[in-house]
Amino acid sequence: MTASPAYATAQPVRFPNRRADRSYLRTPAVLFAIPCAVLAQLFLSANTTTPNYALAQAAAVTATMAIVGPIVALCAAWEAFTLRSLWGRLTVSRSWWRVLVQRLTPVLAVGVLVQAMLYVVALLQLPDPAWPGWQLPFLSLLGVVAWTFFGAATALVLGRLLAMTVALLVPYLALTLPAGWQPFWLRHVNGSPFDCCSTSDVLDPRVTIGSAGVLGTILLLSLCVARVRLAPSQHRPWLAAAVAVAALIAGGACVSAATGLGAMPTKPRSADALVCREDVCLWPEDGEALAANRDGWAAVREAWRGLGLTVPENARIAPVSAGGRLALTTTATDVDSAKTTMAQLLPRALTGCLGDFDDPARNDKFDRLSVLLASRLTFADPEARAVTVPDPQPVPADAESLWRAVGRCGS
Amino acid sequence: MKLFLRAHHASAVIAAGVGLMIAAWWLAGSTLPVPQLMQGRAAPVAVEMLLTVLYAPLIAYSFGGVALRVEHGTRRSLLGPDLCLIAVVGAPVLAVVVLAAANGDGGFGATIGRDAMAFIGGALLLLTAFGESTAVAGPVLYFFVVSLLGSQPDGSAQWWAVLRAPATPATVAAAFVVLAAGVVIFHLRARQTAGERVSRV
Repeated sequence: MTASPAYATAQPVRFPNRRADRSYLRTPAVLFAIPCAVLAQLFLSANTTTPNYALAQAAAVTATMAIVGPIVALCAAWEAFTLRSLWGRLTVSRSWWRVLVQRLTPVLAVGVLVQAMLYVVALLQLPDPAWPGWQLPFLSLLGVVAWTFFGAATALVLGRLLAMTVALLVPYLALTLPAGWQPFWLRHVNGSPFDCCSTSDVLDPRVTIGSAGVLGTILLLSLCVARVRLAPSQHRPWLAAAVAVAALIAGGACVSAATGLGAMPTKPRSADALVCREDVCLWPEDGEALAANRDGWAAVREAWRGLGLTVPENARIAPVSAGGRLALTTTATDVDSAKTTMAQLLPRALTGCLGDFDDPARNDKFDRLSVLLASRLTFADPEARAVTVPDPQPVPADAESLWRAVGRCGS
Repeated sequence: MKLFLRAHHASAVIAAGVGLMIAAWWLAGSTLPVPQLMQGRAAPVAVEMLLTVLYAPLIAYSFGGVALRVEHGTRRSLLGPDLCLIAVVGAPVLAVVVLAAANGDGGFGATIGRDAMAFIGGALLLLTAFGESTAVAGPVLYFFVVSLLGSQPDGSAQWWAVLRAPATPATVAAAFVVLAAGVVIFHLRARQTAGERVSRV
């Protein structure tokens, strides 16, 4: 029986009450934590989102990944340089992935903490703080992990200067550029949903699936690269290649689920969430607009009847037309804006033509009805009458004939 | 001089610089479509700014590394070779500036010349003060911040984000000052000769 070599049985040196190699305060992640948090908070505060809506606030937080992603990738690359320079020179009894994860723990912790802090700040600004659902926090978490391991993988493969440049620029470009790309679905698979969401919308689950596919593929490919560089060469060398191929296939399958998305990463919100007071139904987040919608609707309804036209009894207005409601409400809080919007939309809402603009002759008739309707309304600001039509200008006597002529859409 | 230029990767740097400048001229006028829903704080940023920021890793690669450490012990001035190396790095930029001006596109030439001078000078300053890693990370992080937070709601640039604005004589002069400061500080701090250091002791 052969005696084990001394290095194989030696116990690691222990330094009581402190880490053996360095202080956490000198890790790049901790050094970059405050600048990262400040920049991300500045970015978040400069972002225009739908006020009072937790989902929109959370989507704005995911947009800060354009700052957090490159910084965690840079810090991870920095940590991986140290690992790379020591790897093979020291006796390490732990497996490669445990060493790598321990090395990257401060980076992951800082990334997650910055994102968590931004979520807390963004959600506490709401009058009624609410949980935005698991999808966006999940994408933030996955983004931090994926870009961290991406940075480490670049440092394990490339030279130091090139790796730092790649670790900084690739996440930045991947998170900012797709916002202007076509086809539109390409904009929604980088983990940072662009243009999400109005109170009438919720995040489409396909965005989460597609983004998880892309970020998960980046994560798994990075781990495969790390394994190739760090694991013993004779230790199942085919495993990394097999996982990489499987990751690419699975990622492609996830992304293919998102190819049906359009310009917006959203789907309509369920009408069950509407809150109705009297004859006005609004989303809970739009409660400030209740008075303007109620007063505007009362005035527009009377003006419509004044033209000799009818409105169904007990007609309710709402942001969506579900349940027989008229989709007329606005999120504006001034009555003039509400009246203007309703005057433009009421003829179309009553005929089911809100989304039908194909017939120019019919569009002109709708515009003339809107002009007639607006002419019977009083506005604090005369400039608020937005719709104009070419001469001859309509007169109230034309209302009934115009109304008969427009007919109904989809019939 | 030949050995000096070879040790500082002059041929690789000039090849990369030529590539960057060709790409910048080819893509002149195009922008990076960063998200624009940020109350005007973020607006599309010119591609040439992204390309010129890549001079930072080139400077760290060329002026830093083993050659810098070896030359730290030299007993004669390296001002001449350093200026020659700067000329090599700046030659593609100068060529594009002159060609752009000759073709009536002086605005593009001034902008790319200003950005290149600022990033080269900034990288030299950071290389001298903090080392190669900071010389790469600093300019690239500045580019991030400028592109994502450096715009005013009216489309103009914040005062600290002048590199995203069209070039003016004042900003070109400021970039030249940064370049000159980078060269001077690099020469004074990173090129102290062994003889000078011994005499101070």
